[in-house]
Parts: sequence; structure tokens; C-alpha cells
Amino acid sequence: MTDEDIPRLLHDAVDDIEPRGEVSDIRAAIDQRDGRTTWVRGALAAAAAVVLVTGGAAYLHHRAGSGVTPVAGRTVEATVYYVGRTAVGPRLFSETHELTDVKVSDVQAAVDTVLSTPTDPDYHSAFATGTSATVTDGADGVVDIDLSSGVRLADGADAEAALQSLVWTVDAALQRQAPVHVTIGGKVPAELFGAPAKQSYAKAAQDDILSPVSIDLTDGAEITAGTTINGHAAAFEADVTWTLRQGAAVIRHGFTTANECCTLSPFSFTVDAPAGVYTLTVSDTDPSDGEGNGVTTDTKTIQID
Amino acid sequence: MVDDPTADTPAHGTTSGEAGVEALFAREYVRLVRAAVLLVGDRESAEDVVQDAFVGVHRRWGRFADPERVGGYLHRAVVNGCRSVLRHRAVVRRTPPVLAVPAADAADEVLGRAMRAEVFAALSALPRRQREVLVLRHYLDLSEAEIAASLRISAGSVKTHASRGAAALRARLQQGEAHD
Repeated sequence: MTDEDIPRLLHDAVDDIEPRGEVSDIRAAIDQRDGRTTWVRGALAAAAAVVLVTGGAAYLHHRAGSGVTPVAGRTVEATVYYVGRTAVGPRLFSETHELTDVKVSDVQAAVDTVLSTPTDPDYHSAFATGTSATVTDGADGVVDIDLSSGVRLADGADAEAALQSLVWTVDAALQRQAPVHVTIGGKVPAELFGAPAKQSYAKAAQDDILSPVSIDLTDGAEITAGTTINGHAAAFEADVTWTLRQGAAVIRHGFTTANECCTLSPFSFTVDAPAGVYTLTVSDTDPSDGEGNGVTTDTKTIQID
Repeated sequence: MVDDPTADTPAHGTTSGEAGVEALFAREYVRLVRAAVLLVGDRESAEDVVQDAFVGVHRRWGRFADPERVGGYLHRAVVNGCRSVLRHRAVVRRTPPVLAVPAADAADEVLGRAMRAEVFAALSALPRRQREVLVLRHYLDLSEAEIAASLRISAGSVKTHASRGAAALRARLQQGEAHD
């Protein structure tokens, strides 16, 4: 056997297969957006055995969406990136959400979440209330996000933060670098939120787009006294200060140092206080004594058991 | 002030775009599904992969810099889609991805067709990259340059995967014959 035999072998192995599917199915798939495609894949993946059907066998298989069996919802953990105010402008803060009864793709569910209301009242979606999006993972690595027509930014968001909130959320959902292609109402816009629209958007460097201070806790979290609180900061001299308040009263306070100055790196500290509900605020420091950008804070309501 | 998303926008899904996708589909769909079957082992998954690839082409139709790039995009989308299928299958089954071995067809009498199960078994034993390059080269008849552009690897890598894959495939098939 030589290499010349290989084409014949491959052709003989599959050339009697008669694929089903018409070009009208492509149009139908686009019209129905991603939900149907995800369902088909889900159903196939659940099949216990995969068997090659030769050209001689035939069974009915409608791709137009009729007769679709509903899929049970599943639970998805999504890390999504909302916008919040910082001393250096609008930046991204992450939140982890446990989404239940999800019937769409993980990435669609994550984007739906980042367009809705966060847990932390200090954060917000980058887009005005009522914005929706259809997300398609393009199989060539680029993710299409079609935003609803007439989409507007939320107050406090800028174009960069808005687009990056989508890119970072998609990247986290797919667990891979996934450039994002944005359309509005199915059309490719010339401009997106005041800047010329790019073919695709990739993740900005974290120091440029994530908040310079953040606490790794869900707002409202319950912790036991003595728990280590973790976070990230890009702080002058890596200094981070924290306070634990009840109302106006400062119950505990302290300071710690992130691993490195000036670029996002981890910090941690321990909080020990009597059981109760508190406001925990972490802040970077302002070396300019008021002349510069000011400080950035991240605040969480926590409950100590 | 609200940005007008329709200003200066090339119309999505123009008549020429639809016609272009239709022509491409007519030329390529069947052979791409068959190529995908060689990569994933079953027709249904292959159909889904290739349909998704065409959905992607349809969406992007106005954005291709030149018609030459469409083929590369389409092949890359099919290869990536097949990789996803195998990865997902591995997760669902908790075993390494394998190509489904086709059900024996008692009607198969032609020597080539009798080899089908062996060909699939031999393909499934190859490293993924070698399998992909073999199918693109020997089934879809793409040139090394086209394969390199599609998979975004160097021409040298294509040569290496092609020659190693061919040698491995031949060795396994000849081994199979020796057992009969």
C-alpha cells in the first residue's frame, strides 16, 4: 500500500453517505438563533452510542425546529463582568453566579446574566435596562454577539468597559480566548458606542480594564469569624486598607499588602469580629494626598456567623 | 444621542450573499459532511458540524476580504467543529475520544467498502492533527498551502503531519490485513 491508495480508501469509506440537510436549513438556523443548534448538539451528546448510518438507512429528522423535545434545565456556574466606578473610570468587577434551569448554551446564559442586575448594588450592567443579546459560538473561534436594536450604554459605562464586559464574560464562559464580533439588530454597525466598529474585540489587559481593587466575595456572603478574605489590587506600593463597619461605626480595620505593586495581584487578610452584618470596604491608597485620581474601593455586605 | 446602527451598513444577507452561500453549499456541503464523518465517525454529528460551519459563513459573508478566504474559513470551521464533538464526547463518556466504528453492512461486497471499519479504526488511532491533515489532503484534496492556511499552521507542519499520518495509517491497515 502506498500513499496513492489513501484517497481511494477514504473515499470508499464515506462516499456512499448521503447527507441530509438543505441550504434552507442554514437560513432557518440563523432565523432561529442559537437555541435550536444547542439543543441538537445536546441531544446528540446524550446519546449512549453513536452509530454510523450508511446511505441505505433513512429516518425522519426535521431540522426546522418542529417537534423539538424540551430539554431539562441545567445548573451553570458563570463568572460575569459588570461595570463599577473606580478612581480610574468605569472598570470591570467580576461576580460568580449559580444559574439554575438553564436551557440555552453556557455562553448565552452568561451574557444574559451580565446584561441583567448584579448582586452587588455598586455594580451594574454596562448596557441600559432591557438590552438583550443573542450569542453564537462561531466554531471558528469567534463569538458573535447580536445586541438588540437601539442598544444604549448604561449611565456610568463607556464603550470600552461595555465591550470588554462582553469579551471577558464570553471568555470565562467558554474557557478560552474568544474574540467577539458585535452586531446590532442583525446588522454590522459602522460605529459602536461612539467609536468605529472593529471586526472583533479581544480581551484588554487586566490592568487596563479590571478594577484596581476587588474583593473575592459575593455581596451578602456569610463567613465565619477568622475567615481569610481574598482579593486583587493594583495599588501604589501594593498597599491595601480595609474597614469593617456597622452603620457609621468602624468595628475593625487594617491594612495589607498585595503581592506586587502597581499591577493586579492578590492580597488577603483575616477578619475576626462578633457575629453580625457588616459592610466590608477595601481600598487602595492615594499617594498624591488628594491631587491624583483618588482611591478605588470595593464594598461588600457580609454576615459573620 | 443614539447611534444609528443602520447608517453606512452593508446590508446583511443581500441577494448576492444568499446566492453565494447557496452556490458554495451546493458545491461543498456533501463532500464536507463526508470529510467530517471521517473525523467524527457518524453522519449526524458531521451534518451538525458542517451546517454550523455554513451558518458561520453566511453570517460573515460580507466580511471576507476576498473569496479565497471563504474556503479556508469553512475548512477551519469544520475541523474546529469536529474537535468540539470529540471533546464533548470524551466528557460525556469519560473515555478518550474515539471515532464510532460503523455498523457492519451485510450488503457491502466491494473490497473498498469492506475496509470501511478498518479505515475508521485506523483513523481513530491517529493523533488528532495527523487525522485532520490526512482528511484535508487525501479526501478533500487540498494542497499543503491550503491546509496550512486553513489550520493556521506552517507548511512544514502540514508536511510532517501528512507524512507521519500516512505512514501510521498504512501501517495499521496493513497490520489489519495481516490478521485476516
